[in-house]
Amino acid sequence: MQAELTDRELFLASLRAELAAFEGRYLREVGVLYAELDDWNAKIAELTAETDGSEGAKSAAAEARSQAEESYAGAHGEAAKAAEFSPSPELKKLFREVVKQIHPDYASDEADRLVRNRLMAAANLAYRRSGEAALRRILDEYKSSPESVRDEGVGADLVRVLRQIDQIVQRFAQIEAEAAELASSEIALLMAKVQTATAEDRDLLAEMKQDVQHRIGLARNEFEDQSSKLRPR
Amino acid sequence: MSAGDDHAALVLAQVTALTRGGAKSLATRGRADLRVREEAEDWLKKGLDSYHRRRFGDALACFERGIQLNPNHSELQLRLGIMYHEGEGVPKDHAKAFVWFRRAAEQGDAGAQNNLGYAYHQGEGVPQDFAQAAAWFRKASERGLRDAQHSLGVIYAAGDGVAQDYEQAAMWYRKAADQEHAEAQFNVGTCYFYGQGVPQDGVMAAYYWRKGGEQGHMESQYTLGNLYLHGWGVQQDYEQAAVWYRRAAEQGEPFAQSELGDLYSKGLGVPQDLAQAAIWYREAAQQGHSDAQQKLGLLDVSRRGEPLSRS
Repeated sequence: MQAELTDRELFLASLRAELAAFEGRYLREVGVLYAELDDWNAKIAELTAETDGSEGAKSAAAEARSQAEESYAGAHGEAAKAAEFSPSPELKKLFREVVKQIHPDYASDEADRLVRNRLMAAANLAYRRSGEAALRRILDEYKSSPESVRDEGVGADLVRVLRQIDQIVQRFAQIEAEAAELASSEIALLMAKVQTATAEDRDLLAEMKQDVQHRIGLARNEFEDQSSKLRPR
Repeated sequence: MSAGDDHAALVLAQVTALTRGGAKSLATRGRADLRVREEAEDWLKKGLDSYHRRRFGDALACFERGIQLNPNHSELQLRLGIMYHEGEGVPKDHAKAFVWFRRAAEQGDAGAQNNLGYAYHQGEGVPQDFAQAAAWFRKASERGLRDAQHSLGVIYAAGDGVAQDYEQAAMWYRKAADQEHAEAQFNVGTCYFYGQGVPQDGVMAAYYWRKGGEQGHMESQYTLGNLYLHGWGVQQDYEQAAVWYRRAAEQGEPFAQSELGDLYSKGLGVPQDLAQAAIWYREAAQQGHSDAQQKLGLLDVSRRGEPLSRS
C-alpha cells in the first residue's frame, strides 16, 4: 500500500510539473502573441472611439483594453515562468524517497502531520523545479526533526494504524480526482493536441505562433490605416 | 487586398478574444483557434477531393467555407486563386485570382509566389511588370520550386525586369534542371553548348540534353541527335543520332525529320532506304522546311531519273 501511494504521488507530481512546464512554454511562445494581438485590437477600438465618440464605441474600447490587460497579465505572469520539465531517474528516485519518509498520511499525530504537510508541499515544488538539492534538504530536515524520532513500535496502537489506513485510502481518491481534473483542464487538452501533432511530425505551437503573428500583422496594418486617415495631411 | 477583406481576419481575432481569465483563457483561446483552423483544414480536404473529381462548383463552395473560418489559410487562398484563374466553378477572373495569389504569396506559399510571378510576367489581372515578376519568381525559386527557377532563368536570359545576366540564367536553369525540369534541362544544355554564363562544355551539354530527351523533350532530342551526328561532346555515333532524330521527328520536329531523311538517304546509322528518306523529307517539307523540300525533289530525280511532275 505504501509503495502504491508513493507511485501515485509521483505520478500526480509529475503530471502537475509537466502541465506547468507546458503552460509556461505555451504562454511564452503563443500567449504573449495573443496579448500583443489584443493590444492592437484595443488600440483600434480606442481609435474608433476617438473618431466615433459614441457611448457604444467608448465602452467597446474600454472592454477591449481590459481584455488586452488581462491577456498581458496572463501571458507575462507567474505561470509563464515555469521552466521545462524533464525529470532524471535520480530526481524521481529522490522524490519517492521523500514521499516514503514524509507523506502526511504516515503522521503519528497532528503536530507531525503539520510538519509533513509543509514539507510535502515544498517537496512538490522542488520536484517541479528539478531541485535535487532542495529535495535532499527536505529529507534531512525531517530526519532531524523531533517528530521523526517518535517511538513507533510500542506506542503504535491499532486505532492509529486503522486511522492511517483510512487516510491513505482517502488520499488515493484525492489523487485520482485531482489527476482527472488536471487531465481535463484546458492546458492539458492543448498539450495533448500538441503532443499528437508532434508524433505526426508537426510543430503545432509553431503553427499557432505563425497564425497569431499573421493576425497581429493584419491588426497593425488596420491600425496604421485608420490612424493615417485621422492625421491631418 | 481590400480593407474589407482584412476585416474578416480581425473578426476572427476578436471573437476568440471574448473568453476571459488570464493564463487559462489564453489556453482556451488557443484551443478554440485550433478547432476553427482544423475545421477549415477539413473544408480544404473536402474541396480538394471534389476538385480532383472535377466537381468544381462543390470544390469552390468548400474552399469558400474554409476561408470564412480561416481567412489566413494560404493553401485555401492559393486554391481559390487557381479556380478564378482557370475559371473553374466561377467565371474566369484574373483580377480576383491575382488578389488571392498575392495573399498566399505574401504568406510564403511558394506555389502562389510562382503564380504571382507568372501573373506579373503575363500581365494577368495586374499591369505587366517584369521587375515584380522577377522578384516573386526569385522568392519561389529560393524555396526550391523548379518552375519558378526555370522562369527566373528565362527572365535573366532575356533581361526582362533585371539586368541581363547569363551566369544567373544558367545557374537557375541548372537548379531547375537538376530537379528534372525538362525545359530547363534543354536550356542549361544550350548554355553549356554555347558557353553562355558557364564555361563551354560539350559533355555537360550532352548530359543535360540527354536528360531532357529522355523525358520526351523534343528540342533536346533533336539537339542530342546533332551532337551524335557531329561528335560534339560525345563520340560520333550515327546510330545514336538516328535514334534521337527519330524520337524528335516522331514528335513533329521538322529539322529532325529532315536529318533523319538524310541518314536514310545516305545509309548512316540506319540501312539505306530512299522510301523512308522520302517519307521524312515530305513530313519536314509539309512544315515548310525548304531544304527538305529541295532534297525531296532531288531524291525523286535520282529515283525516277526525271523531275517530279508539277501537276
